[in-house]
Amino acid sequence: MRSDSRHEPAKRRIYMDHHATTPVDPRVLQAMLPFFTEEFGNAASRSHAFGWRAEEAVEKARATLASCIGARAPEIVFTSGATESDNLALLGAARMASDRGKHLLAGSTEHPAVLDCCRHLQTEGFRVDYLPVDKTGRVSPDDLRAALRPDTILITLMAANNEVGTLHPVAEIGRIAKERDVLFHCDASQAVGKIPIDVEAMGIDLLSFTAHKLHGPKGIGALYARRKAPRVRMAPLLYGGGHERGLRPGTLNVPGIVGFAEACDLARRAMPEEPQRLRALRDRLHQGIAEQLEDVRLHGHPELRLPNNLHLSFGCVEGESLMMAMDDVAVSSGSACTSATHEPSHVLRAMGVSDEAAHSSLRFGLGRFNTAEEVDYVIGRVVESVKKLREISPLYELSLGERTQARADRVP
Amino acid sequence: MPTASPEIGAKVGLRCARLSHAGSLDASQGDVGSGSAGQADTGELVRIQVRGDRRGIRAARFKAFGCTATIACASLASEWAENRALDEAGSIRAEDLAAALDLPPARLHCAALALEALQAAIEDLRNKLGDEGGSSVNSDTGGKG
Repeated sequence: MRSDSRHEPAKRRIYMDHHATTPVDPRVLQAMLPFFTEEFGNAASRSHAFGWRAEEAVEKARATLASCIGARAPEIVFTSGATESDNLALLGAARMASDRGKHLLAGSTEHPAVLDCCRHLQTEGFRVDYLPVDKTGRVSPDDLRAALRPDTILITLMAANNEVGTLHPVAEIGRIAKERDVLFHCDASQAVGKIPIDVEAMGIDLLSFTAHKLHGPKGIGALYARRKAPRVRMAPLLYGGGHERGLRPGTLNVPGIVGFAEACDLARRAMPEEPQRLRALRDRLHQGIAEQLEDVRLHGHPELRLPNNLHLSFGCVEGESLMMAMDDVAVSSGSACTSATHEPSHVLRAMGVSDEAAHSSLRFGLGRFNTAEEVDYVIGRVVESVKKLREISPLYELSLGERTQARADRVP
Repeated sequence: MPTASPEIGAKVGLRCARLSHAGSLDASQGDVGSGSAGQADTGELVRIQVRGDRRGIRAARFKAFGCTATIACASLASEWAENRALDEAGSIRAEDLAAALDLPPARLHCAALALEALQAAIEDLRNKLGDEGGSSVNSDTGGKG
């Protein structure tokens, strides 16, 4: 008898929630490690080699990150993550441009990091209009044109949606923004490393991105802010030193910055093969589920969406219960029973998805370390769990009854 | 994106893993009462059915569309309702159900929903028993809705 057979086998855990966060790639960790111990200098220390070496590492990372998005090194400001980048971009740029106008445009399916900034700006006397999306989650450039006003100072629109993965027509929005001399901020947290992003080609003036969505560490992000044509002016949110040209004071997170650059560089070098691999795995997951279950609906654009995103709703099954039924698979749900309010996802709502379908939704996000074998296992778990929950669903019983009735009605 | 709250404990998990009392009773029968609570578009709908007579509930079954806590509450409410007098089953408290399942305060409404369905089922059963004259005399007539 093998010794391990006396124990319960370790429970399998599969992570498929890579829109929430990703594991740090071991190569990223290796790049970071020296900067915790030997190379621990403060990048702002000018008087000794510890500081010089830290500064050198930071500037090298800055250049790498800039080149990953088609920017120049001085245009990168390090922050604690995409939420801070969004805050600095929106509050910082809107406040600075308020003498020109106080009107902003935002996508209605933006991340709360953007929406909450917009709401805050509204309390400061700014006016924000929210652009509708179609049923695939895309804004229309025509709607944007129609919503622009003479006093519009900024447009904010994400590159890829974090729930349904839909890609917005960013380059077209950038062109319109240029024509109308309006700043364009793009939250590209989900997009960088998965689809090509080029701030020049896309006419982006401000771009938020973060390390932990692309197999880098948590707690480090960046804001790209255009320095020429136009030069974006921002008021800082924090005060306390001249770091990052006064835009973001505070001792730089050198290990994080080094890891961020390594993660971005790895993602860039893996293009286009890795996104293609993820797309193939994602499609295998979708197909495997759809072949074995009826009443499965895809949310998001069928083609123009992140290669690793799959957002499905399963008729008659509530999302959270499904998530809990397959507790060895980590995914997210558009439903949350945390209070009596039961508000479903604002993204699905904006897309015109019924509240019932929103409550029945599950988001899968594939990542670098997922395998075809894991995908097949997850297909099995989803199919088994949905069937089990449909057996106890009063809605499923109703829909079965309706279908039986419909068949009976067709019989002459 | 909303995520599941983590505070769902082991008791809910265990009950859902070995779910009892799920299913249906034949609603067309005179001794079966059915009740529902909640709505699909708010993410939770519970149906409970009870079979019995004026002396009490002999069997209870549920179906639920909702979070795990809602499913667990519907299951436990059905279990508790069996072999109880109608009044007794109708006065099970949400707090007791929630305590038995270690529900956090934010999930108390899941217990309340299950009991709303149970109470509606009992009411329906009372109506049916009343309409058919009932088999037992002079007891519980005040229960007719």
